Amino acid sequence: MKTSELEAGWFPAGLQNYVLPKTAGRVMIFDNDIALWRGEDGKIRAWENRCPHRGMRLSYGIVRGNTLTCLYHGWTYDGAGACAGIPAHPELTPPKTIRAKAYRAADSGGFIWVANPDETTEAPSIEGDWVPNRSVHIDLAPTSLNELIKGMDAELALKITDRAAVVRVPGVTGEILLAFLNMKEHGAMIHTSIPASASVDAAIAVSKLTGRLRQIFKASSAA
Amino acid sequence: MVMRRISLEGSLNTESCLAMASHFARRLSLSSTIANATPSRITLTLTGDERLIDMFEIACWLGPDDVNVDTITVETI
Repeated sequence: MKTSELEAGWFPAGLQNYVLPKTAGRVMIFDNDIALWRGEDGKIRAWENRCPHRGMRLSYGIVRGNTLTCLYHGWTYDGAGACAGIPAHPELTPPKTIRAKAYRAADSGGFIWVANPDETTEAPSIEGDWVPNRSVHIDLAPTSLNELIKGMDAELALKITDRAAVVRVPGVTGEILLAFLNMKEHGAMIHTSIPASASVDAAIAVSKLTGRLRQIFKASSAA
Repeated sequence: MVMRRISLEGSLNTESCLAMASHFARRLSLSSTIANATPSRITLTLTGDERLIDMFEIACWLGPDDVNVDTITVETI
C-alpha cells in the first residue's frame, strides 16, 4: 500500500481563509492528495485525503465540533485522526489503529503550511501581521522561487523557504508575501498575503499582479 | 474476543493479497496468522472483536486491482 510522503520542509498549502472553521477543503501537494479542515477550535489540520474505511475523500467530510465525519459511511475521526465512532456499530469502541494519516499543519503569514508528520522543523514564523490576499492557479509550476519573483517583476526582500519569500513589487508601497505550491500535473498555486495595514488599493494592485502570473506560467507558452 | 478461520478464494496475486490482509488486520487491531497461501486460496486465522472481523471480511471483497476474490468462507474455531 502506498504511503504518501512529502519532500522535507513546509509547504504553503493555501491561504489561511481557504479553510474556515467548521469546514474542510482539498489540496494537492505535488501528487499527494490532502484534506485540510478546521474544527470549531479553529485549528488547521491536514490529513491524507482518504478515509481508512473505504478510501472516500475526507475533504468531502462534515465537520462537527472538533471531529471530521466521512460523508460515505459516517466514520468519525477526532482532531488527532483517531476513529471516534462507527455508526454501523454504535456500541463498538474503535481500536486506536483505525486512524487517518495526519500531517503537520500550521497557520503563518496568512498561509496554511503543511509538512510530513515527522518534520523536525517548526512552520515558518513570519514576522509581522499578514492577511491572505489572493490565490491563483497556474498551468506550469515555476522551477524556482527566483523564477516566480522574476515573473512578478518583484525584488526579493527576505527568503522564507524555497517556496516562499517576502518581496517588493512595482507600484505597491511596502512588502508582500509570495509563495507557490507545486501540484505536478495539476499545475501550481501562487499565494499572496499583504500586511494587515495595507490599503485596499494595495490589495487590488497585488491581486492584479498575481493574476498576471497566469499568463506568464501558461502551458501553451512553455515550448 | 473471538477466533475465526477465513479463507479467500479466487484469482489472487499472493503477494498483493497477503499485503492487503496484513494491512487490514493491522488497521483493525486483529491478530492474524497465515495458515496457507497459494495463488487461488489464502487461509488466515484471525483473533479479535467479532465486529472488526466482519469488517475485515467486507474489506477483503474490495482488494487491490490484481486480486479478484470470488469466495470468502468464515469458520468459527
